[in-house]
Amino acid sequence: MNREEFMRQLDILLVSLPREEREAALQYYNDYFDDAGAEKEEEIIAELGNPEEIAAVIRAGYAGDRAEYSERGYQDTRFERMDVPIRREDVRESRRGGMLLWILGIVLIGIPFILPLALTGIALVFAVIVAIVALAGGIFITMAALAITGVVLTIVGISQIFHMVTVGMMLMGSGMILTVIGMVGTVLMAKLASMVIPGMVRFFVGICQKMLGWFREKVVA
Amino acid sequence: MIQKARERGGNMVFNTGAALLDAVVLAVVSKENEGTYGYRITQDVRKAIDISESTLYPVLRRLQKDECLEVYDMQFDGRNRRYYKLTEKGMAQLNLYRIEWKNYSTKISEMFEGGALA
Repeated sequence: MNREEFMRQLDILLVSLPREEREAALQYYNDYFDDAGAEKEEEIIAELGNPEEIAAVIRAGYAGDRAEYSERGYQDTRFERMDVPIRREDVRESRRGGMLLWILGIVLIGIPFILPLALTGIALVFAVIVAIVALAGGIFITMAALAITGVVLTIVGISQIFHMVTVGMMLMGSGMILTVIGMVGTVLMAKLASMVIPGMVRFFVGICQKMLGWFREKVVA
Repeated sequence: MIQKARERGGNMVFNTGAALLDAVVLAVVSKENEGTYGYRITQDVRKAIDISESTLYPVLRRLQKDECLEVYDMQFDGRNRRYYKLTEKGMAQLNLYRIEWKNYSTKISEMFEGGALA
């Protein structure tokens, strides 16, 4: 293509523009060729590309579209050819999607194993807590029984004093000792239980909540 | 294209945004009191940025529409040559760009200094 041909085609392609715009554009490129000199004509035509592209850019510029400029030339993404290299964000996105699929697969396969294991663990902890509570309760009741027995014995001892002093005294003495031991034990047990058991229950509930949360996060996310 | 750019001393590594191109064009035109013409502007801009011949016209046209540049025709060699000249608004805009560039380029330079192989 030579200059005349180029300009003629450009003229036709810009027909849709208002006259002033078209004439300004044509004058610019005519001036350009003139100022460059005849010897540069071929080079300029090679660099300009084809008249269609130039016309498109000029029309877009007139319509007020802000074409993006880069080293590769004045680009408007609408005219961009589709050989755009994959951007790194896209690759990262697809890779993340792949990883998610993997995790999902492992979780799905793992659930038949993990779930029973987890439930067993929870049940175990629960059983331990129940055992401890039962033990505490048992000791408490024993101590209470001891105290009551002590009281009964004391009373019986008192009643026996009037029959046989020594027996009566022995019964009374043992009874009182038992009462004291029983009362101290009861109080101690109650105090201990009130300190330890709520903590254990809270601990247990905490574990359950954490597991639920972890589960929800992995599956729903 | 890259080879030619190197010979012209132009940059071929970093993309030039539309704003920077505007700024460079305004700066180039501002160097001449009486303004300058399209071909000259392209050559001058190319000393810094590698642009193709087709790039400049839309930019000049837009700057003209934004009233940063004004045009006038002058006889040269028996034909009319169109000259572009900076307006007041263009001057103000250029100064804005100058300040922005100073801030921006200083920060970038600071980033590049220091670190490995300083």
